[in-house]
Amino acid sequence: MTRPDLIPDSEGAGRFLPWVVAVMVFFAALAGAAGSALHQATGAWRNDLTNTVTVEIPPLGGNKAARAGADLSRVTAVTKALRATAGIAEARPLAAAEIAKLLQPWLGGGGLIEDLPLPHLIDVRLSVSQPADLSLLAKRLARIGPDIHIDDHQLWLGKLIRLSQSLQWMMLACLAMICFATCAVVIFGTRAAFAAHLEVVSLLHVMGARDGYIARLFLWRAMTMGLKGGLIGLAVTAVALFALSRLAADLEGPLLGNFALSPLTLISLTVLPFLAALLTAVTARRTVLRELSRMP
Amino acid sequence: MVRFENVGVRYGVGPEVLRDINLHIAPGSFHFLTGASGAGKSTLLKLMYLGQLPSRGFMQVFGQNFARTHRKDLPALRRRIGVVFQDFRLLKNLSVFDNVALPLRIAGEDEKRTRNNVSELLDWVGLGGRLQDSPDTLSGGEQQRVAIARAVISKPSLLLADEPTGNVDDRIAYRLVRLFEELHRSGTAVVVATHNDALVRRFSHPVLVLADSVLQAGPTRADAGGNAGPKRKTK
Repeated sequence: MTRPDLIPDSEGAGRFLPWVVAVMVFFAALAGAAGSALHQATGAWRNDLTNTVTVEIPPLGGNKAARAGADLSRVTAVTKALRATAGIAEARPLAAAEIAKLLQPWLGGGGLIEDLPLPHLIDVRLSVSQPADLSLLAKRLARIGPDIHIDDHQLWLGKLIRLSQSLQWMMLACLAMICFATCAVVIFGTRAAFAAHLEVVSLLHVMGARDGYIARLFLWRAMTMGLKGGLIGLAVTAVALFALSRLAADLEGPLLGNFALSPLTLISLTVLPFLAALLTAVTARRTVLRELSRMP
Repeated sequence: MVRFENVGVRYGVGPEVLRDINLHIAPGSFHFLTGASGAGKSTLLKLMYLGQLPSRGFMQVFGQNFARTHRKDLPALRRRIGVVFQDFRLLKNLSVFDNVALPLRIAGEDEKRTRNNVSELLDWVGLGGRLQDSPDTLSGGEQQRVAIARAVISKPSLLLADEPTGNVDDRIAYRLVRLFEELHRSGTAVVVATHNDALVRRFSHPVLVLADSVLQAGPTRADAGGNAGPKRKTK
């Protein structure tokens, strides 16, 4: 039977290991949560914007009163054409008030918006099973007005998704670096502990203890400290994520609305302390076995 | 049991601290190992308990050629050797009982049998009432008895004692050697390293003398006029 108390964990450089692991788990959990939230948000953006297009009808020239009738007849004609096109599930012109609301965060709520020659917008939802051919649709709408434009959001969405994916790769790189740093700390900590307990190790070695027996002593010690640190890190992460979720809840908007963590992500985060304990234990064991291999 | 032929030990590029060591420790034998301080007695014992590799020479322990024995097979050989260290090397964070039980636990002995054997042995060395005490609370003599109990608990085939009489008076030293003799009578080969020549002369056991890094045959009590008869054995 292995006696873990042969190697006390409160001695030597190793006593700081739980705190280092706590910090690492905190960073790993934040990186993981951020990566997961971005992944979730990217999926939501893609779902929201796939199969939807916006038709922009620029206002005609002239004073506001004179052009209002002509603009309205163009909107009506385009809407009618859209609704008559196969593969379009819905075409809904946005009211002036809705457009004003979209611009309000940038232009404010004064009378400026009403004075601007804003384009008219028609929100179009394509049929999921057999979506309309957008190039054909563009040609048809050009007959109503050559300046009428179809925005399929792909340019904007593509840039956003690329940014999001880059950030997700960065999060993964962060996680890898955190694992690497944790391993390095555990290796140095274990070497320090090994050196501090060399007399005990030598004694056990002389008594006929196998390398695995001695390595298990350090493994248990590292695992206990790793788990302790991991749980501390998880507790701090829980507080931080709770605070962030409260802040995010106060924000409105389609971009931030999907930043809630999925149950799978939350479960993954709770597993982190155990992964940290496993990582420290395995690293400590390998380090001790390497040190022991230098003994006869 | 232990056979060394032309064994030498050198640290780095320095001179050999042990040179051309030839010895044979037969099963059930008793030897004293003497020599001035720093003569290399501890190094020679370390070689015997497989705690150090020789720089050269042939070493056979329990019939196994040390150079050809795989590292993973060495723990089994080490378990057949009991060692009493000069500084006892008791683990302070373990009780007296756990210190003595350690070799059995390392060997994976049954816990119930371990408890019985350890309690019985500690009773025998007069420490039956101190089982759960920390070694720190024991006197030097008591710590020494715990160290000896730990060395013999697994009934080793070979017992090596490094200066076990170094910190005790002559009366206790004599009693200690008598204790080793009792173990020897039960079939354990014993090697006691000491620089106490007067003590060695009180017994008739063969003496190995380390001088100038070389092992020589030494005098026994018989050589000095004792009554045990000459017994020289160095090879």
